[in-house]
Amino acid sequence: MTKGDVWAGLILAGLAIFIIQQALVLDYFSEYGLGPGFLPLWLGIVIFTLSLALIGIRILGRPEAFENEGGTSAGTGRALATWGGLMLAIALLNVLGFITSFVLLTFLLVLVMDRRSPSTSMVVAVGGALGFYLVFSAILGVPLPQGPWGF
Amino acid sequence: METLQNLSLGLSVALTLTNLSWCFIGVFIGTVVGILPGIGPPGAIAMLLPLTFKLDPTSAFIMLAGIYYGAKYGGSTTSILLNIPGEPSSVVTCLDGYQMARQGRAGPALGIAAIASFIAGTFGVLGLMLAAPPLARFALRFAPPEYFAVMSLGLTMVAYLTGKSVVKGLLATFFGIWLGIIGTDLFTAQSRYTFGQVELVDGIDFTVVSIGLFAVAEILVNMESRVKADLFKLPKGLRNLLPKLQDLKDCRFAFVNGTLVGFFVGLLPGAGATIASMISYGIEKAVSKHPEKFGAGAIEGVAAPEGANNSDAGGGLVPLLSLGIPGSNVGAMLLAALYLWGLRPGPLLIHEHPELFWGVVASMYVGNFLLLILNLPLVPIFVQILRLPYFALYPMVLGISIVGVYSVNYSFLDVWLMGFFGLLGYLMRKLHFPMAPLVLGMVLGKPTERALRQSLMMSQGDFTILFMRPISATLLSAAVIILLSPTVQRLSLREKKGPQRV
Repeated sequence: MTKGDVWAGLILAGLAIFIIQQALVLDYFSEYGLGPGFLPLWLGIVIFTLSLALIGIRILGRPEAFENEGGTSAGTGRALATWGGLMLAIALLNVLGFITSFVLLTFLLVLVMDRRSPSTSMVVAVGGALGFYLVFSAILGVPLPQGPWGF
Repeated sequence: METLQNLSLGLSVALTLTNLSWCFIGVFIGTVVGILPGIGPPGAIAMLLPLTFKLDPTSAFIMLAGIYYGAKYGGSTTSILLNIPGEPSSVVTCLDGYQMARQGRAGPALGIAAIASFIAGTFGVLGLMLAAPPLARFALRFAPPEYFAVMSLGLTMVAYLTGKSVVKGLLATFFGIWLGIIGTDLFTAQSRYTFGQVELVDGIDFTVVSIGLFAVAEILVNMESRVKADLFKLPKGLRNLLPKLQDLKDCRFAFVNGTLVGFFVGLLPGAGATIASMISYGIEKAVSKHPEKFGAGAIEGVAAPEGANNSDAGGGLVPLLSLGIPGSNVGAMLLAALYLWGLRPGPLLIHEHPELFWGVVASMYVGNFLLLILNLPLVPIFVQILRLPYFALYPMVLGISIVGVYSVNYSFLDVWLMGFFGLLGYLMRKLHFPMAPLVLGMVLGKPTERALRQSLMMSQGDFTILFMRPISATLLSAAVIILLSPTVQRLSLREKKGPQRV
């Protein structure tokens, strides 16, 4: 996974620059000794150095941890599509409430990702949502995000 | 004598109906989680963490610990019947356990796994009971420099031992420390990296990160591909699950080996149950009169790793409960739980909350006994869980993750962050970045910074205080040696190879 590691190194190096930039705004020393900027500054420097080391190791071809998790691009696509569905459901939480968002998420995942029939998908989605409502809302009293329908 | 008195205090706590119930719930969930390949103990504990806020800390810890060691029992079931480890530390059990099942000996394989787990698990708790209190008493001498040193050593070991790349381990550690210091600075009340969000002033909640990294990321990894495997039929009746007397004789050394290796490896931060089970399997094979049988269905090849991964649980709790230093993902979560419940993990924990420490110890004896029952006569019932369709399971895990995170602060930002950490956890697995250093860095980030700054306040800014005190100097030297060891190894290898090239 040479490319992946190089990308990871670049992203982490970018994060390190951000950490350093913000740390420079904070006090390095304070009246109590070291200030709030001390640790972040050094963290940023170390992360930056290690990121470059990671990129260097990959480009120079050191045999350290060279293998990847395996899997296919189709598999990665399935995982990312599931994540996209989750993020969509999170975006809808505020608008539709938990129960409706969960029904939509489950229905789509089971129907599209698992290629089950619409009726099976709906049974899993509605049954699951009902279970959540009973356990968390009715029994445990956890206030779930509500939609315009009151649930 | 004092230990026995304390143990009786622990039993009086653990044997109340409430705590017995929580112990049973914990080991039951642990067994289920261990059996299900799709979700591991860190994910399960992360999801349940928010629900424990309303519980008494002792009861909550008893339940979470039950999930931790219970999963190690359940993990062997899928290794033996499906050749798929229910949790990572059961991977070695597949080697001989699955071969035994193929030869029609699934019953004795499951039986010996449960018996080895029980013996090693019980002795692991005995080790915890005997080792943690003296270690905590010794650690009472610690001042901020020693705390800084011990936390630095813990973080270094975890970065070094987990994963195959030290660079990636260190990057994960430092990224975790950065996540841990987001929020208000403890000394000056200045905000750091809050992006102007009021919700981040108190920092990112550990539950948000752990649920994202473990529960959500696990689902994403499982969505990539589903392994379909045929489940071996289990023989009916308890008699067919019990190993024969000869099997038990063959496993005598494996029980001792698994117990000792598991406990001592468990003491080391970062080593973990998987390494413990691999070492004990290697030792067992090395000393066996029939090493050729290993990998072809040797019963000792099941007993040794299963014993080791259970004894590791007791060993892993020693540094956690006596020093406040976790050695694994689950340890980090248990430590975070102690903070969330308002306790102060560290050497004073056993002294200030003896009912918690001794209650947990006693509950682990009880829990191991309950697990023996759950995993011997009741294993055919648990196996039915494997027939649950995955498409009905993973949406529930995602739903519990959302509800669990939302219920911590009723914050939508937390739920968004959980989604982000889910993707991060998935990418980390794809790129072989270890998770344990990140979560440990996050949990120990603030305490490490506090200890460093307090140390320098003591010395009026003189860094040599860290190297002038014997304990901190020794611990920091050990951390430096660990950090430098890969470079030294590489250099010595290059020297050895050098003449050959010429």
